[in-house]
Amino acid sequence: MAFEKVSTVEVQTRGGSFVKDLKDKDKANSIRLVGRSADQGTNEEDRNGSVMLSNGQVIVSNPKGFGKFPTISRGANVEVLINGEKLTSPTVVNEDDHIEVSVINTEPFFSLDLEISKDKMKALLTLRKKPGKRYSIEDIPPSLEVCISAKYQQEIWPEVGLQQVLDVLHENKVIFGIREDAIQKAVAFQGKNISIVAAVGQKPTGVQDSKIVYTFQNRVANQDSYFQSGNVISVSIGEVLAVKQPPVTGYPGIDVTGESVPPRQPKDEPILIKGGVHLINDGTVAMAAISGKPVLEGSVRKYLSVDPVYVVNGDVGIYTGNIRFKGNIIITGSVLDSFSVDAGGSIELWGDARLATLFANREVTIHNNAITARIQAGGLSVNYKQILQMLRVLQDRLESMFNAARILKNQPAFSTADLKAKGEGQLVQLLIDFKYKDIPKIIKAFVQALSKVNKALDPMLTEVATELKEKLCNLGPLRIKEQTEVELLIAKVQKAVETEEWLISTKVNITVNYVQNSVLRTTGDIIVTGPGSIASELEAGGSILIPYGKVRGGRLMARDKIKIWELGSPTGDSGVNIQLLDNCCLEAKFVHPGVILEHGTERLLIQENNRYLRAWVDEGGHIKLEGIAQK
Amino acid sequence: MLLKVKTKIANEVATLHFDGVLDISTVESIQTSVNKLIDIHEVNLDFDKVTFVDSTGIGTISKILRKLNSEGVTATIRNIPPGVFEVFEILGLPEIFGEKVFQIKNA
Repeated sequence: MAFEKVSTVEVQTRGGSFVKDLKDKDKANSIRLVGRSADQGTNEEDRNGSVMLSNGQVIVSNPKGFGKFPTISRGANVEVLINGEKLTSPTVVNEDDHIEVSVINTEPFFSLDLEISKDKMKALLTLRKKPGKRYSIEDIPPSLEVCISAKYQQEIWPEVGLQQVLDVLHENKVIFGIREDAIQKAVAFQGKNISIVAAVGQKPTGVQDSKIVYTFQNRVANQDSYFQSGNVISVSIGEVLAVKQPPVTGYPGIDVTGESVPPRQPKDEPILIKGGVHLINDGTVAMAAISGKPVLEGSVRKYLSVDPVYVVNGDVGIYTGNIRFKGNIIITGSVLDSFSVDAGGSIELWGDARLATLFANREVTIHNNAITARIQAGGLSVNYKQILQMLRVLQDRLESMFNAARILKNQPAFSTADLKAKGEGQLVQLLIDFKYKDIPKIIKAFVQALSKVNKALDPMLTEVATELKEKLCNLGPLRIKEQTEVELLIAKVQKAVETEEWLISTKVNITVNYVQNSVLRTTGDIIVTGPGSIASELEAGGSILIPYGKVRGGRLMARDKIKIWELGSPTGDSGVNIQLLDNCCLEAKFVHPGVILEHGTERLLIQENNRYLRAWVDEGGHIKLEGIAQK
Repeated sequence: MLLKVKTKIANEVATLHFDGVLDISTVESIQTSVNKLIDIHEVNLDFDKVTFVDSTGIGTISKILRKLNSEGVTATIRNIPPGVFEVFEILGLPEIFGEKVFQIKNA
C-alpha cells in the first residue's frame, strides 16, 4: 500500500492568524484550520473547547473557565500527527498544538507475467491490475470529541500501455507472432486479472508420415476383380493389395523467439509381408503372389499375407464331391448329406452343414447351422499326434545317426577312402543296417500314418515323407552322395516337427449359429452365436461360449470356461452332461433340473432351478456350486 | 596296402589270421578265403594285425558273419585292436551279432 502525504497543516492559536503550509497536490485534501472555539457553553465563563473540520481545515478552540478541552481521535484512511507524533488514541488538544492530518490514498498497481512454453511456440501473458483509491477529509462541526477520517472518493485503475507490454515481450526475447489485438484488449480490460496468448509461433508444416493403404479393404465384394462368396473377399494373383504413400518432409516453423523450428522426421513404415505377397516398386506396392484370401494380422506391426483360398460357389454335394484343399475353403452354400470338407487352413461355410464332416487345421466358421455334423478344428486328431510322435522319434534317430557317422569318420582306425569313391550313402547304409535299423521302420510307419489321415495335409509333410522313404529305406541310402543331403533331410524333419507342434498347440475356434445332434471338437473356443446347442457333443481346448442360447441334451467339455445362457430344459428331461475339468468354470444364467456336472468320479445332479449358477472344481478336487436356487 | 590272410584248420575249426587293412581293396580276398572253408563248424577271424577298416570292409565282415550264422557255423572275431573295436561298437555290430562274437585284443 502506498502512502502519500498530501497536505501539511499548522494550527493558528486563538484569535491569531494561521499559517498554512500546504504541500498539497489535491486541493480537496487540504486542511485549513481556523482558530476559533465553536462550543459555546451556557455560562459565558465556563465553556468547553471544541474541534471542527471545515473544508479540510482543523480548527481547535480552547475551553473557557472550567470548560473541558476537546479531544481528537483518528478514523479511517487518515494519519494524524500532533506536534509531530502519530495519533493512535483519542488525545486532548488545544489551540497551541501543531496538528497535521494526512489522507492515506492507495495507488493503482499492475504487474505483467510472461510465460513461454517449453517448445517456445507460445507466450502467455498474465496482466494483474489493482486499482488505487482516493479519499478526502470529511467536514465535522465543532465538537468536544472529534474523530478525523477520510471518505472514499474514487477508484483509479492503472494505466497500462501497449508499449509497456511489448517491452516486456522484447525483454524476454519474444519477437515473433505477437498478437497486438489481444494485447490491446488486455490492457484495456478493467478487471483484476487477465491472461492472454501474447505471441504464437508458427509450427512446421507439411510433414506427412508414410501411409499404407490396403486396397482390398475398401473394395466391394462384387467387383469384377473379386469372386464373391457371401461377404468374403478374395484376391486374384497379381492384384494390388497395398500401396504405400511415401513420407513427406515438411517445412520449418518459427518459434516466438524467432528461432527456426525444424520439422520432425516423418515416419517411414515399410509394407510388411508374409506368404503369398510380393513387393514391387521398391517396396511401395504389395501384390498378391497367389489367389486367395488377403489377411492382415498384427496389432502394432501389421503383416499382409494371402492365404490360398478355394471357393465353392454353391453347395458341396454331388456336383462337387468331397472337398480337400491345402489352404482355406469358402463355401457359399451348404455341405450336404454325407459329404466332407477337409481344409489345411480354415473353412468358412455360409450355409448349413447337414450330415456332413468338416475338418480344418484352422478356424471353422458356419454362418448357419450344423445338423448331425461332425466338425473338427485344429490339428488335434489322434492321427496328427501320432504323426508328431513319429516325427520326433525320427528326428532324434536321424540326428543320432548323423552324429555316429561324424564320430566314425574321425576314428583313426576307420578309412573314408571308399566313401569318397562310392559316396556318403555307403556309411549311411551301414549305420541303418546295424545300429539304426529302426529308422526305415519308423519312416514306413510315418508314411502309413499319413495315408490314414483322412484330411488335407500340410504338403510339407507329404514331401518329407516321400524324401525320407526314397533316401533312407531299402537301398535308398546308397544313392546319397553327400553328407549335406542327410543334413538337409534332418532339417526338413525338424521343420515338419515344428509345423506339427504348431498345428497341435495352436488354438483355433469353431463358430456356428446353431448346433443339433452334432459333434464339435476344437483346440480353441466353440462359440454358438444363435439359439444354442441341442443334443450335441462339444469339446473345446479353450472355452464354450453360448451367450444367448440354450443347451439341451448332449455333453460339454472345455478347458477354460463354459458360459451359457440357459442350461437344460424346463421339463427337466433333457439331461445335459457337463464335464468339469480342473481349471474350468461353468457359468449359466438359467439352469434347469436334470443337468449333470461331472468331475472325475464325482457326479452332481442339479435338482432345482437355479439362476446365475457358477460351478467349479476346488483345490480338493470337488465340485463347488454357487447360485440362486429357485424351488 | 594289402591284406594277408593265413588260414589254419584243425578239428573243423578254422582260424583266419588277417594282417593288413580291411578295405575296399582287400574285401575280395577275405571273401575268397572264407568261401574256401568246407566242413567247418567254427570260424575264428583273428584281427590282431588289422590296422584299419572302411565301410566296405565292415559290410563284407557282416555279410560273412551272416552267411556263417545261416550255415550254423559259429563265428568269432578275436584280438580286435581297440581302435577297430570302437568302430564296430559305433556301428552297433556287437548288438546285432552278439557281444561274444567280437573279442577285443587283451580284453
